[in-house]
Amino acid sequence: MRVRLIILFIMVLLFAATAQEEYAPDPYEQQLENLAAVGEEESIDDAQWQYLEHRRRHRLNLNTADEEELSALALLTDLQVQQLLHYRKVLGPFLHIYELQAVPGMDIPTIRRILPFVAVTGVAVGIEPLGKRFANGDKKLLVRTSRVLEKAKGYQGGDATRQYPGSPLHVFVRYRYQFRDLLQYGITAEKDPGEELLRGRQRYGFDFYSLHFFVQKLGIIKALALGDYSISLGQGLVHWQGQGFKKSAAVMNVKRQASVVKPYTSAGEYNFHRGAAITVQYNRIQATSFVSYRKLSASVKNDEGGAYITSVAASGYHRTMAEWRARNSVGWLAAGANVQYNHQRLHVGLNMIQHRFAVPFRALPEPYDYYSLQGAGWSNYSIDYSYTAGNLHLFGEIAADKLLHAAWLQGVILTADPAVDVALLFRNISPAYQAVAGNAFTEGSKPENETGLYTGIAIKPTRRLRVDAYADFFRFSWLRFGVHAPSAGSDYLLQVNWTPNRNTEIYCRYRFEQKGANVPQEGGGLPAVLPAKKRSWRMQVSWQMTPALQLRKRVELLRYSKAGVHQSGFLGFADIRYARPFTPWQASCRLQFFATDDYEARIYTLEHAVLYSSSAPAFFGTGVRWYCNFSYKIDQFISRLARAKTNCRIGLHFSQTSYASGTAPGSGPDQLNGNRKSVVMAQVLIGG
Amino acid sequence: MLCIVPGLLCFFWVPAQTLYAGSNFPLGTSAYSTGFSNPFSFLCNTASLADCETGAALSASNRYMLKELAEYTAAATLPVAAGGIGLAMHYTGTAAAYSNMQWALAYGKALGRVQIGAGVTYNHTRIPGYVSNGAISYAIGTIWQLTPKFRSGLQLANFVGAKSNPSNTQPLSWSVGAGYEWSEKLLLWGVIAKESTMPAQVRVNMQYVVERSFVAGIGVMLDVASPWFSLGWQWENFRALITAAFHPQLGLTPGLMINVQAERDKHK
Repeated sequence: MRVRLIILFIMVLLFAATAQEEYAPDPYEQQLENLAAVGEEESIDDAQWQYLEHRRRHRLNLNTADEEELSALALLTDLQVQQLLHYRKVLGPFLHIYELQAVPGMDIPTIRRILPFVAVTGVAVGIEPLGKRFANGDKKLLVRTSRVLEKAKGYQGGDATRQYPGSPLHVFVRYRYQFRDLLQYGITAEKDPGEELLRGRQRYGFDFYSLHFFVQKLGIIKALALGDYSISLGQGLVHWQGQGFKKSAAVMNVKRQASVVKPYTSAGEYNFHRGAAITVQYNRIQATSFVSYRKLSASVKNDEGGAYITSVAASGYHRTMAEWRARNSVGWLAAGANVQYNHQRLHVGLNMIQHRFAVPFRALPEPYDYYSLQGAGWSNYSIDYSYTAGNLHLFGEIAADKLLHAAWLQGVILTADPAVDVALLFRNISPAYQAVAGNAFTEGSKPENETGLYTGIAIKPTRRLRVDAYADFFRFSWLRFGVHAPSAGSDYLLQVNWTPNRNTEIYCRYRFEQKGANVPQEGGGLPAVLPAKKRSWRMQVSWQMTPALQLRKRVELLRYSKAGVHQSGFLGFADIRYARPFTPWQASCRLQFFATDDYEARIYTLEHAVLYSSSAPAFFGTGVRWYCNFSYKIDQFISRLARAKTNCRIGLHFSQTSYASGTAPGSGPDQLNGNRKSVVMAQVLIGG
Repeated sequence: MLCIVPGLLCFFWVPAQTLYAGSNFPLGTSAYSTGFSNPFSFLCNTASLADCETGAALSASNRYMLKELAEYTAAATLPVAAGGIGLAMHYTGTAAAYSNMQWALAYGKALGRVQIGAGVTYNHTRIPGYVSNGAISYAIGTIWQLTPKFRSGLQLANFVGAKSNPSNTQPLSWSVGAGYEWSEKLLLWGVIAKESTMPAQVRVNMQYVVERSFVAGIGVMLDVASPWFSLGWQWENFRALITAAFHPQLGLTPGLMINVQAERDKHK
């Protein structure tokens, strides 16, 4: 113990010399940007952000946290989680937070990332009975509204089938009660721009409502969810509704980590279940069962063979006549189970899920759609496993669908040296394999039709330098949308992070990606499939100039080439963020310039607006964008009004993008007049 | 020859668009160092004036050995109590075919480890028989002293489009740069500059003081794979450089630069 205290003292000194105050980097910035690029979706599920904010207020006690809680931060690799748990088991509870440096596999940047969300205390917090959890929890009401100031075509009259009947206002309301990690319930309501509110087709209120009730640690019941919830199984081959990052500069984050059942609190109208789910735990066995019934918005067609689904609308927009007709048009019944055995460093899980749709799916008469989901019922089964041996962590999943088409994913995470981490991931997914809501670590957005090998390495040659690199080789043995022949590709990334001092972080990133793409042939006929290459180079500087002021700038160059045709893209931005500790207000501004030859050279950047609102839009064309965020705490004023201590934060956001003349932003009914798009957003968050 | 000059200008000639574009400074000039700056540095980043010394410089180059593309730039810098000011004049072309004259005035100031700067230019273009007009544009810049040896900066020019006539909005420009002073003798630096109507330009450079009276520089403009080098002689406050850049298709651009600069106050 004495030796440990001396080591700890030295570490405190060392760490104090390198620690940063109030430095809150965007821990998932590159992952979210890459996710947006893969899915081409701008909005971001805020569930993880909510979780981290909750953890910022109620820090995770490292002396009592279990594997699931540590993994839920999504800031540690599975090997780091295992090593932390092993360290605690062998040497006893942590004495101080700085002792994290002694845990094998932990480096300073990782510790800095998790520091705002964890604590070391000797006091074990009790588990209250259910009745007591309904008092003294955090109540949080969030009201957010935003709108585009310029009028889009959809609001200007004309073709009735392409008109939006509602106002251009976006309204989002969420109430949530949370008692530590033990109880959570709430309601979410949302109206998208163009949808009606309290009139017309929506005379009873919002277009989308979501209710959830979630309780944990109730005797043998580990988790119980009623209402809306999400299910994440194994490595995502059969089902994954949580956030699942794909390839990024966080090269070691290749393993899916999440609790099987999670409450659903986001505004997304597609990726969740509605019903009940329960997880029970008895010694080393944990079992989850769930059942859900909800309606999907889908385009349904009829022919002599009957009705069938042509596409499922995941956007949640119900504005035009066509979107309204598709709204809640198909019933979806889903049920499934997960049984897992966890003992020390071994984990084995069995997963199954069954789906039943009121209207069957039918493949399009296109070769690329030959293997797509068909019929009114579908099921998937899998075994997932993981094992840690010393500095080696193995994990994987073997899955099959209803027609016994197979999918296999196998990963290895290895700490080869204190300064070198290696990750390998092999996947072999049959072209015929299908999963309704699968989301694994693959090149494609869904786990299907892919064989590939990913290798990643993270090297820390010095305390100031970190090199991350990956190479991924993949093959699609059947056709894909927009690729009318079997194809192959590769993806490489090299990122060098330099931290010259405790306040400065600089990284340079080079990425090269090549994969097949259709090239139309002169005179018609089948398109040729030729390699499309994308090279991008990025440099970013983040400087915590003072404890309150952070400056950032980024420049990114991109070049896209296909069949001898080149497009280039450029994006640069500069950020200022001001957040002085113990003052009620914060502000941030960004100025951005982008110029790309065309859409293929588009560049994604993550943007934050008000709290819990972020997006990763794609920028193409030529233009200048700027935005300002401002938030202010008015706790005293609200407390006086409410006659009780109440937290309240208001947030304001204004953004404007000016495109080069001749470029009108948006398309279809969303197209704006002029060359400017301005968005104003306001949010009130009460409680917390 | 007169016919191809406007064409060449459209494709390869940048300075007429804005002197502050972030890459339109004479070769051998760096804004991202203290020891290697010269009176032209503020054209690369106006914030570099924050720690400038009194100096004057003259540069002449003959782009691609075409007399119609001859360029002349003169600049002077003067430290003042709260920063530094810079003045530059640039002329290119010939009176008979195409000529462009620019005047630039800038001011820079240090705010701790952040330097900021701002400048304006008056840009006058004349093509006999076609056009003769002028426009005022502006630039703002900042340089961050991230470590004692490492600086990084950003310069934006013409963010509110200056117009020489209603149909001619001058392109805006965004440039970032960084310099690492390896030692008092060696500087590594680079600039990426993008104008809205031009491909991005990337310059990577190295400048080296071989010995007290002999300086050398080498670099490459990556966007056109065009290398350049400079060799110079210095004596006390006086420095003379000859420069040469080679474009793979268009050939050689020789240049000459002389500057006189007060000795840097090392206590600054």
